[in-house]
Amino acid sequence: MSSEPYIVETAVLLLLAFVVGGLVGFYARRWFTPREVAGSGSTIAPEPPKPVPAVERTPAATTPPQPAAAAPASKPAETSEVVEEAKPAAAEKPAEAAKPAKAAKPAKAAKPAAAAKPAKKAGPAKADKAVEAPSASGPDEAGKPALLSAARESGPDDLKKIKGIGPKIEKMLHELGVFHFDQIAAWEAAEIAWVDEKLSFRGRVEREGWVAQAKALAAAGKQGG
Amino acid sequence: MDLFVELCVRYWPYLVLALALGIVAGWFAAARSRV
Repeated sequence: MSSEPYIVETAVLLLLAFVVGGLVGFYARRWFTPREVAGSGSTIAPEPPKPVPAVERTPAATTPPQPAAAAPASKPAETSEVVEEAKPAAAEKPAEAAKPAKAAKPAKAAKPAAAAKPAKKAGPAKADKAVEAPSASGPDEAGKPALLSAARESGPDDLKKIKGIGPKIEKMLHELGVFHFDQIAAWEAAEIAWVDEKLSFRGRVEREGWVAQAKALAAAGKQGG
Repeated sequence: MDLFVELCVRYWPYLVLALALGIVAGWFAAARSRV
């Protein structure tokens, strides 16, 4: 070959090398970060991007406007789909998985929204036993979800089961007052925005579908016990 | 193909450098997408 520079060809080659390197680095990073959060807690949760089920954003069309924290989950059918996806154990009996979700939701939905204390209505019946912090009342606390000062008697749920939550974020949520799946399941747009801002999550609550996952896990938890 | 080999042989240090830069960029891109 002559000593011609072949500038374009060289540039293409270098670009190709860069792209190949980028792909290698990208997948290496995903490969080497632990997929299952086992509690070692060295890094953030490295779950692959997951299509968010369409459960989480359901404006309550039939219910009158009410405080966002009081709105319960309103799509049992879709929730059962999520149960099948997120909880392999529950996949063996999907019909049963759907039942408790259905049974639980209408009771809550029928309950009139008590405007005086919306935070207390967000949790299930178990929440009565919980030690609850005073609900949001300040003007700058708009959208504050129901927070607990401590986990319920049954102990905190393993929030790491939600894809996207690792030990670090779980700890942050605990410090904030979020211990249980049903708490997250009760979040609506305002609460999600509040938590996003509070913990600098930059929209990952919505992006990773925490609410839908939490609904599924809460329903599975109810079914289990 | 010959040209490709020739260029690889001649410019391999730059190719390695580009590859390394790509790996670093991809690594951080993955980290950023997962934060």
